[in-house]
Amino acid sequence: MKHDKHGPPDSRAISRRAFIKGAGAIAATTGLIRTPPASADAAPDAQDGIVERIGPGAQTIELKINGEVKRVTVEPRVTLLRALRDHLNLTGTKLVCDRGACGACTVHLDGKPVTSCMVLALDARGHEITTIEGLLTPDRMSPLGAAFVEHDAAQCGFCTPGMMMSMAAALASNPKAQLEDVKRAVAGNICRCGTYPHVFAAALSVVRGGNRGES
Amino acid sequence: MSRRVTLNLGFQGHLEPVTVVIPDDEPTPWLFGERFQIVGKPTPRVDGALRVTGAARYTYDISMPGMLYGAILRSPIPHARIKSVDLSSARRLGGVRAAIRMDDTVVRFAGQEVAAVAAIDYETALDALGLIKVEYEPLPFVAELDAAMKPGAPPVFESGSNVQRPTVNEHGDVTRGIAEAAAVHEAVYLTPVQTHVSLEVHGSVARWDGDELTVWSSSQGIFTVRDDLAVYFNLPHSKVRVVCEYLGGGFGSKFGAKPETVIAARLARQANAPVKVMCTREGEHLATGNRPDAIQKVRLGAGHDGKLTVLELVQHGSGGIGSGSGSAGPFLSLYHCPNLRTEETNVFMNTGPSSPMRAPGWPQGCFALELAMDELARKLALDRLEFRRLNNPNPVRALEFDIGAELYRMEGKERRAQIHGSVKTRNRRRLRGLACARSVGSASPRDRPSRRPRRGSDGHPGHRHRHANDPRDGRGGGAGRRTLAHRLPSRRHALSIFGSLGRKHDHAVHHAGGSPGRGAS
Ligand code: FES
Ligand code: FES
Repeated sequence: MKHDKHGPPDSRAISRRAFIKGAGAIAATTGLIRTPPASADAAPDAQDGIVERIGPGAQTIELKINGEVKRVTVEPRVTLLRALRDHLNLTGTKLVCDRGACGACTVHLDGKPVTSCMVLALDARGHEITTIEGLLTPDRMSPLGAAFVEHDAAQCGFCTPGMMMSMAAALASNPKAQLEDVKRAVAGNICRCGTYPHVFAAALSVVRGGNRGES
Repeated sequence: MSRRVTLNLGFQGHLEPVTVVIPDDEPTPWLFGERFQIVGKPTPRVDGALRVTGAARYTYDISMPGMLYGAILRSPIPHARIKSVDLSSARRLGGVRAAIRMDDTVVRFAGQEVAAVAAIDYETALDALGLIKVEYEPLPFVAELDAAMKPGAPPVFESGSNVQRPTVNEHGDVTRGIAEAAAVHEAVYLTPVQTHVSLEVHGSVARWDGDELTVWSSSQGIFTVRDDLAVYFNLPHSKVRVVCEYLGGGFGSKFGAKPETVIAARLARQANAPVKVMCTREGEHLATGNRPDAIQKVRLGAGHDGKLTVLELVQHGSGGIGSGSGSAGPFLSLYHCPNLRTEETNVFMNTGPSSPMRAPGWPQGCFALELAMDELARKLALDRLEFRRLNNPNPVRALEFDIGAELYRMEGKERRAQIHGSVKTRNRRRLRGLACARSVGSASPRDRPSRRPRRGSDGHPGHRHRHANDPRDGRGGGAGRRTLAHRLPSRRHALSIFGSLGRKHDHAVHHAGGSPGRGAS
C-alpha cells in the first residue's frame, strides 16, 4: 500500500524538500524507509542545501504547541498531524485525506494556516504551532466559536476544527472581511455535510459584531 | 392499563378525528397544529461547543493504554486467486504484535482486504504491510458496466452470468399505452458511480476483556455492528458492546460490521491488546461502498389531455461485487399511469460492493424520470408543473405542489422558467429546475428509541433511560432528542444514546410517540 504524500506544503516557511533531499528522496515510499538510502554515504553538502542529516530512526524533538514546549519521539517521516494526534493526543486536528486536499488538519504555524498532514513533525521545530485546542475550548469559547455554535456551522463536525482554524486566521489578518473573503478563507476546507453557508454567516456575524480580536 | 384518545389526523385541510387506544405510560401523540415549548423553536445543538472546539471524540480520535495501530493490505489486482500469503517477515519486524490474513481465497476487486497487521505505531504497521508476501494468480476481470453486461464477459463469480435476474413490476399494457399516446419521449439516462466520502473514514477500535468484545465504531448502526460481530465471533449478544459517540459522516455507508471492524477485532484478539483500524482514504474509496451507476432506458407517453398513458423503465446498474442497484422507486410511486412496466437488472463487475447512499436508487431514478417528464411536457406544450399535477395521485403531494409553486414564484421569471426550463437571472447565472421526489423515511423499528424503563446506572430506581441507535452524525434527529431530554422537567428521564448495551432485549421497542423527527404529515 502506497502512502502517497506529494504536493507542496501551504507555508513557504516550511521546507519539506530540504528533508527529502537529506533522506535520499525516499520519504514517500513506505516499507523502504528503514533502509538507509544508497546515497547516504555522501558527505553532507551545504551547497546542495543539506544542513542536517536526520533519521532514519526515531528521535526526540521539541515542538512548541499552544505555547508549551512538548517533547515527542518520532521518526523523520512522521507528519506533524500524526505527531499531534497519535503522540500528543491532540485529536481536535482531524485526519481526512492525508494529502493536503481537504483542510481538516489545518493548524497555525507562526499564525499562518497550514495543512499539518503536509508538514513533517521535524520541520515544525522552531515554529509556534497552534492547534484548535490552543485556539478555543468549550470553557473558553472565542467569539467565532460561539458564532459557529449559534449559526449551527457544524453538522457532523469533522471538518469544523479545520474550518475554524482557517477562518480564525483569515479574520485575524482581515477583521473587515466580507462574504468573498470568508468564502476564500475556507476554499481549501472540504465539508461533505454542506455547512458552508452557516460558516459564512457565523464569520460575518463576528465581523459585524465589531472586531473582538478573533485568534 | 390504557386510555382512549381522540386525535385529529391527516394534513392541512383534510383532518379527521380518529379514536385510538394508548397505553397509560405512553404520552399522547402530538396533534396537528399543536404549539410546543421546545419543538419548532430554534435551539443551539447541545453538543455544538464540543464539535466546534475539536473536543468531541470521534472513533478516529479514540486511544487507550496499550492500543495498537492496525493497517490493511489490499489487493492491487481486480480479480485473482490467492495462492499464498506469507506473514512471517511481517511478524518478525520489531513492534509488530499481530498479523492476519483474510478468509477469502479469491479477490474480486482491486482494494479487497487480503491481510492486516497491528503494531505499536502506524508507521511500523505500514512497514509490516510492505513485508507481507502475497502470491496472486490473476484472473480475467471486468470493471465497466456495459462491458460486464456483454455475453462472454469474464464472470465475476464462478456460479454464472454477471447479469442477474431482473426485477419486473408491471401493470396494464405498455404496447397499448404507446399506441394511445399523443406524444412519446424515449431516451437513455446514464449516471456514474459516486462514493460517499464521509470525512471520517470507516474504522473501529476493538478491545477484548476476556471473552467480551467492546468495539468503538464509526457507524450509523451500532446494533447492526453488534449483531454482525456476534455472528462472526459466535458470541451471545450480551458479550458484544458497540459504541459510537460522534460520527464524522456516514451517508448510508456505515451500517453493519464491515471488514475493517472484523479485522480490528481479530487483530485485537491475536495481540491481546486494543487495536485501532481506520481505512486510508484510498481504501475508503475502493472498498467501503458506493452508489451504483445506472443505464436507464426510459419510455414515457401521454395523451393530449396531459394524462400519462405509458411509463417504462429498463434499467441496468452495477453494485460491483454486490447488488442493490435498482432505481425504479420513483417510477413506481410518483405518478399515476395505467400502463407501467419497470425492469431492474443488477450486473456484477470487479469493483467494490455498493452500499446504501442517501435514499438508495432514488436519485438515479428521479434524475431519469424527471428529465423525461420535462421533455414530454415540452412535446405536449404543457406547463411542467401542471403536467405533474395532472398525473399526481396523492392529495398530500398536491398540497406540496401548491407550496412549491408559491415559493418558486417568489423569485420571479417563474412562468418562463416553468415552460422553457432553465433561465439566467439578471444578476447571477443560476439555473432553475423543477422536479418531484418522494421521501421514503421510516427507521427500522430497532433503530427507534427504546422506552423500556430500567434502573439507571446511577442506581436511582425509576429513571427512564431511552436507548437509541443515535450516533451524533449531525443530521439533527439526535440533537433534537437530546434537546428534549435535556429540557425535560424532571430528572426522571435520562438518555443513553451511544452504546448498544449487549442484551438482546435492550432494543425491544414501543412505537408510540417519541422522535421529534416524525411530524404530522
Ligand atoms: S488531512 Fe491534511 S489536508 Fe486533508
Ligand atoms: S460538518 Fe460534516 S463534513 Fe463538515
